[in-house]
Amino acid sequence: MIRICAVALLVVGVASPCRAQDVAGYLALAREYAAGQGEEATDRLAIWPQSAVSAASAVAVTTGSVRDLLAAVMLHTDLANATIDAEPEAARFHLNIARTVLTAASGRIGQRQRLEPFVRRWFRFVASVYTSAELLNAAAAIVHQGLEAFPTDPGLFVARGTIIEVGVRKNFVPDWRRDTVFGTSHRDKVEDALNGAAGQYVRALSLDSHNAEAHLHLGWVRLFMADGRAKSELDAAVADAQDDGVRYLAHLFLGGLAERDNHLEDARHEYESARMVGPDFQTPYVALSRIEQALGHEDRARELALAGLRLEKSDADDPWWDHRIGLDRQGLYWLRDEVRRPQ
Amino acid sequence: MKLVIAALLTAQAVSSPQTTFRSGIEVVELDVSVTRGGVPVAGLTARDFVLTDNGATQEVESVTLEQLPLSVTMVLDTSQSVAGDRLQHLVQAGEGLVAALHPDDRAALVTFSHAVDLLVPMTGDTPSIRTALGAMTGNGATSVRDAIHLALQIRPHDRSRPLLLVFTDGPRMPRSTRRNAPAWSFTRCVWNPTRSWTG
Repeated sequence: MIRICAVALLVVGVASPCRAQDVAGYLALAREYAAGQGEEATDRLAIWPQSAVSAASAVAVTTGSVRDLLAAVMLHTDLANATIDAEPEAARFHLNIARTVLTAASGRIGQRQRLEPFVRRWFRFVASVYTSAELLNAAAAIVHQGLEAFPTDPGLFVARGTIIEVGVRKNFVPDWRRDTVFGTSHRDKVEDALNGAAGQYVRALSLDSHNAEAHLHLGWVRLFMADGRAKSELDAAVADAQDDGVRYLAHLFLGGLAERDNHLEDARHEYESARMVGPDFQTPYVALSRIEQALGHEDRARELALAGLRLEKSDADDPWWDHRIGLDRQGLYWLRDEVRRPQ
Repeated sequence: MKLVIAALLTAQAVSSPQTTFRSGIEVVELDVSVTRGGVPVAGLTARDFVLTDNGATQEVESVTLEQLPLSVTMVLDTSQSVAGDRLQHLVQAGEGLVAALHPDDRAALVTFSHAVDLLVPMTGDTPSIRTALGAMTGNGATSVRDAIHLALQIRPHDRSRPLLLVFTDGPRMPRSTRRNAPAWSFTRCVWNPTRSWTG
């Protein structure tokens, strides 16, 4: 009997190879992240074996402070966001760990309500990470989990609509090299899908009529569906925008709407507004140059083209790209700020 | 080689007591290229050409033969999808083009991924283009339409022959690490009437 117990203890010991210094190192990485050295911390975490990460995080959830745990959540989340395209399985692993740590932190006494805004935003952001990597089933699953916890969160309905939008782009965009033109049935499928996305945005707006993201996405979808209600949604997005990214995109889309309808002066006005909000981004320069050319102002078109080409290479930050892939970058910034805020 | 045909076009005045108008003669230059078996045909005169405008025969006043330099704008896709061998082939093609230029010819280099960059403005300094070609890397999304628009806008407005060469493998691309590659995109043009989802 004694011999059997000894063997069992030995097995347990081998199965949990977590040294105290691993846990300390793990929490040190989290603190490094919270101190603003996110890239260094994620780079170092990235080379940890997954078994060590699992073991250290499993101990840390019982020993770390809530502040450390939230930093650890964002350490894993930021790493996953940075690597999901190249290493989707590793990213998924880190997001699962992040979720476990987050659950533990919010399960601490008195923390559930306090952490609720963080948890909501985390679900939305992680859904957007999966969406942007076109891992749409994983994105849908995380939205489902989020809605189980927060069934009236408008941001999660926006996330659900975005998954559909990206799915349409992934599955239905024609291959230009074959000069594909949509047939009727194909177009019907696209419109059905986009109607589904629009339904999610409408649902979000029924929960929060001033949700600028929902107005923006709904306006964009309706723009593509040639729905006359697009403009009012995009105007509402401008009015309700809480950040420059939404404001910039709403003006761009309003410009696109006016350009489609050949209201070139209106288009110019909107694209100029977009350029004022995002003067470092190339998209409005290209659009304005196109409009000036259409208006017969060749010199101005050329001038704008040159100005666009001379921009510093910050175009990767153009919110246009995040919108196209469904990434909630503002969510990432918000979450980072939360764990880095001095107490 | 370039043949310039100057045609005399007489404006037709419409009789109207309420309208002030000017009449006159406008000389219109037309650029044409005449080849046989891929070789320029020499010795042509005005009598060798017939010019019509909406079916009406116009007078061809003169034909001049000119040897004009080229202004080549190379527009190269440097998105993630061309990284590796494709990019090397692009670089080699670009170097081949530069090597084939005559001393009076000029070239510019525009690259595009998610952003469009004017790497080398129009220049006769071909070594600078070779250097820029050698430094290219593949990353990011594909803004091919934006690149074409911008490159067309910056073409020289002089007596040289503008030539725009666009090399791309198309807008689809695999995604790479998010730190460097923000997105795949079909086109960044906000409104694209020929390619909208609704046809």
